[in-house]
Amino acid sequence: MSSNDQYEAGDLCETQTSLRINGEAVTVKIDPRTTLLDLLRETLHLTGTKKGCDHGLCGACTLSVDGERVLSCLTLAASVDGSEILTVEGLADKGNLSELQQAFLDHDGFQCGYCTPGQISSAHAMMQEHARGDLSMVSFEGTRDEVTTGRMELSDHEIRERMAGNICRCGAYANIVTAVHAVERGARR
Amino acid sequence: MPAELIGTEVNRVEGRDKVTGAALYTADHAFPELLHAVLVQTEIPCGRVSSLSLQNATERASSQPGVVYVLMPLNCPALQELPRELTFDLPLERRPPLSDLTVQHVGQHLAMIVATTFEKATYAASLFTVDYEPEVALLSAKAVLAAPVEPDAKGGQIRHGSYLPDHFVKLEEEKLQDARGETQAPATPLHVQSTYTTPINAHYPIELSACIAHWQDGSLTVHDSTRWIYGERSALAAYLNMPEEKIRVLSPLVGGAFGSKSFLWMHVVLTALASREVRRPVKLVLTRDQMFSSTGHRPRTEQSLDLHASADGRIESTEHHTLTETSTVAHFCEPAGLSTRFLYESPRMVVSHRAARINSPTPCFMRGPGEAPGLFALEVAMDELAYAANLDPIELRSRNHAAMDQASGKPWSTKHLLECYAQGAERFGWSSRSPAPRSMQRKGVQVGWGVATATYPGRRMAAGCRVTTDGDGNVTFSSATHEVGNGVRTVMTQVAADAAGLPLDQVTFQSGDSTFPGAPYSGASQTTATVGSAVFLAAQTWQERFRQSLVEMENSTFHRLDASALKMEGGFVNTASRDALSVRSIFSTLGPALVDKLTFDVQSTAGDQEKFAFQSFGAQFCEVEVDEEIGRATVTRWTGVFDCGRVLNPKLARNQIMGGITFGLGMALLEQVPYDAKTAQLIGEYYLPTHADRPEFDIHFIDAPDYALDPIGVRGIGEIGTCGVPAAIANAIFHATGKRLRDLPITLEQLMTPYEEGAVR
Repeated sequence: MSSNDQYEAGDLCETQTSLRINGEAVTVKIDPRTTLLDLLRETLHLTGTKKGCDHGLCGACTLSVDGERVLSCLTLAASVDGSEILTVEGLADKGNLSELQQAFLDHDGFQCGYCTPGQISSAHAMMQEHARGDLSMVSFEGTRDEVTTGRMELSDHEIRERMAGNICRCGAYANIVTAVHAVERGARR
Repeated sequence: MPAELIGTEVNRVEGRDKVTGAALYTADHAFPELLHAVLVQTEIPCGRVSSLSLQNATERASSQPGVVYVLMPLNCPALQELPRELTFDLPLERRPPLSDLTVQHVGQHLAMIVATTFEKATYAASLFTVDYEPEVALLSAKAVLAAPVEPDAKGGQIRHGSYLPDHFVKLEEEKLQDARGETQAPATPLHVQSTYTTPINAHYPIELSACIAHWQDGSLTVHDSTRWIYGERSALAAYLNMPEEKIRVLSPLVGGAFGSKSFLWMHVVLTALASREVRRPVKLVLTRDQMFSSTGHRPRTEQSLDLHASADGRIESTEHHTLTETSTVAHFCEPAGLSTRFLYESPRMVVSHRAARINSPTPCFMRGPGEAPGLFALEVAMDELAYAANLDPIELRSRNHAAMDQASGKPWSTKHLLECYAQGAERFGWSSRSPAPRSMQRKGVQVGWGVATATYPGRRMAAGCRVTTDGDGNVTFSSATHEVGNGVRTVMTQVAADAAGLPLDQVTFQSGDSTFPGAPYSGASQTTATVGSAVFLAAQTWQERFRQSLVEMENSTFHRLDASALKMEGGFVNTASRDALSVRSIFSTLGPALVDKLTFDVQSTAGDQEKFAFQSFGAQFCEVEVDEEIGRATVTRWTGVFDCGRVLNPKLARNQIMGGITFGLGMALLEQVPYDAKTAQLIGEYYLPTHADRPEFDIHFIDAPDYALDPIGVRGIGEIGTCGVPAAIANAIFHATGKRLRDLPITLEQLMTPYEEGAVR
C-alpha cells in the first residue's frame, strides 16, 4: 500500500482541530487517524462516552455533533473540525440532572451502566428528531394525517424503533423506554 | 429487626454517576506516562508460527513511530505454569501465554505492541504479520471423535481427544456422570427421543475487557474489568512467581460480564509483563473481535434426550447425554444435564457429559451455564411429551413435580414451583389457549403460546466484610466483590443499613479492591446470599458494639443501661425511658472514642448446607407471533413468576430478570458466533436483542424467604431469568407453526420452511 510509505517514513504530520465540547472551546493537535471517541477519552479525559465495539454496532459511543446523534467511534475527529459536540457530561446543568437523566435513575434504565451514556445521549437527540417531525419506520403505522404532518405520538413502539441502535446487553430496555416516555409525557404537559 | 429498606425500591446508589458519565470503569482511569498496548492474535486454527517471520514482524513493528516495546514468544519472560487447583476443574489455561510457537486456535495471543498512542500501536500491530506452517485442525466434537487421538504435548499443557468430566467446577456433588434406578429403560406407552443442538454463544458485555498495569517498588497494581479479583490475583501471582501480597487488583465498575471477565487473564499478565519491561503504566483494551477469542464463550452442545412415561404422563425414565467442546489447552464442560437429575420425578435417570478438545478458544461459564442450553433440551422434550400424552404442558409438569431433590436425597429448603405455574398461568391467561398447533392466528400471522420451567441452584460461599466508621458516624462496608450491574452496592447498602439500624445516607458499600476482605467471583447467582450474609453479620456486629459502647462509656447518655434495652432504627437510639437520640448527635460528642471500636473485619461462612437442597424455580410463559412468509418470529408478551427467596429490591430484581429473559431470547432467536466451519475465521456479526426485539414483560416474585440458606432469606437471581427461555420460545413457535425446531438459534430459514402435515413428530 502506497499510503503506508508516509507512516513508515517517520512521525505523522499532526493536524489541528478545534471543537466546542459541552460549550467549551478546545483546540488540539491530533493524529489524523484519531476518532472523535478516542480524542474525547484518551486526550481530553472526557471518559463518559464509552467504547463498546469501536465499529458502529453497539451505540455506546453515541453523542451529538451539531445537534445530530452520531457514533463517535466511526467519526474521525478531524472530520468534525469546528463542530459543537455534546456528550453525556454536558447534559446536567451545574450538578442538576436533566429530566432524562433523572428519569433513567428513577426508572432504573440501566444495570451495569456502560451503555447508559450512549442511551441517554441517543434518547436526548432522538426526542428532538421526533419533535421536529422526523419519521421512523414505525411512524407509518399511524394515520395518514399523522404521517403527513409529522405529529405522531412518541409511542413506546416509536421509542423502541428509534432507539434500536443502542444495545443494552443487561437488557434494561423496558425501563429505558419507560424513562424516555416519562420525560415525553412531562414535556407534553 | 425492622425491615424498612429491604424490600423497597431504592434507586441504585451509583446510579447518579452512571447517568452523568462520572462513573469510572477500568479503561476510564488516567495515568501519567501511560502507554497503549494492542494485541496481535493468530489467524489459523492449528499449526506453528515461523520463528524467522516472528523476528521480522517484531523488527517491522518496532521501527514504527511511537512504538516502545513488542512482547512476543521469542522475548517473553518465562511465566510459571498455573497450579493444578486453578486448571484442573476451572477454565484457566494450562499453557501460559506466548510460551511456545504452536497455534492451538484462531485468536491465540501472538504479540503485544506497546506504543505512545492507541493509533500508533494499532498501526504497528497491523504490520505484525507472520508465516505459519499449518496443520490439520479439528474444529468440531465430531471431527475429534472421528480422528485418532494425538498424544499430549508440553507435559500435558496441550491435550487432545475427548473425556468424561466427573463434576462441575469445584462442586463434587454436581455430578456430570450420574445415574439411578434400573440399568435398562422400561418399556412404556409414551416415549420421546430427540436431539437438540445449541451454538457457540458470546457473553458480549458492552464494556470491552480492559486492564491497566503499573509497577512500583516491585509491587504490581492492576485495574481490570474482572469479576473475580481474588482469583485473578492468584493467577497473576502464579504466572509471575511473586507473592500475592505484592499484587493489588482493582475492579472498578464492571460494564457487564455474564460469565466472561473471569478465568482468561492471559492478556492481563502480558500487560503486566509489558509494563514491568517499559517501566511505565500500560493500558490494554481488547477489540470486539478479540472478545470472542480471549474472554471465553458458551461452547456448542449436542444433547440427546430420552423420556419414557406411562400413559398418564408420569415419567419413568430420563436420559440426557451431552456432547460439548473445550479447547486443547483448558478444561471446561458445559454442564447441560445437571438439572435433569432432579427437576422432575423420575425413578430411572442417566446423565452423561463428554467434552471434546477442539482447536477453538477456551470456553467458560455463561449466564445459566448448563441450565441455558440444558433446559432448552429438557423443556422442549417435556413439551413433546405433553403433546404425545395429550396433556396440557403445565399439567404434565405438575404430575411430575419432584417433592424432594432426587440427586442428593435431601428435602428442598423451600419450593414454590407449583405456585409459579398457577400464578403464571393466571396472569398470562393460559386457560384460553387452544392446544392444537397452528390453531391461533392474528392479523394474518400465526400465534403461539409456550411455557417452560426455570430452575437454578441457590448458592452461598464464604465471604468477608470490613467495617470502617468515621468520626461523624458514617459507616463503610467493604468486600472484594464486584459491581457488574447486579446492583450489589445498592442491595448491600440496604442490608447493612437495616441490620445496623442506620439510614441509607449514613451507609456506604464498597467493592472492587483486593485489599478488601475476600469474596468469591461474581457469578453463579451467589453474590447476594454470600456477600449479603457477611454484610448482615458485619452490620449486626456494628450495632451490638455500638450499643455496648454506649452503655460502657461514662460520658454517654446511656451509661449503665442494659445494652439490650437500646433499640436502633433509622439512625436513632431509642429506649423506654429517654428521648430518642440520633446516632449523628451521639458521634458529635463521643465520635473519636467510637471510631476504633467500630472499625473491624468479619468473616461469614457458607452456612449449613447439609440438611437441605437449595434451588430456585420459576415458570416462563410467552407469546410468539410467527410470520411464515418472511420467516420472522416476534416474542410479543412474557410472563415470568419466580420462586427465588426474599426480594431485597423489587425494582432492581425485576430489571435483572427482564434482562435475563432478554438474554435467553437472544439465545433462542439470534445469537451464534459466526465462525466459518472450515477456516474457523469470524465471518460476520453476532446479533443481539435490541430495543425493538423484546416483549412486553409481566414479572412477578413469590417472595418467600429462604432462611435456611442465609440470614437474609435470599437466593440469587442473576441466572434464573435466562433459564427455560429458549424452550418457552421454541414451544410457542411449535404451537404457532406445528414445527418442532430443535436447533438454536431458530432462524429465518427454519421458519420459512413450508409446514407439512405430519412431517414433524
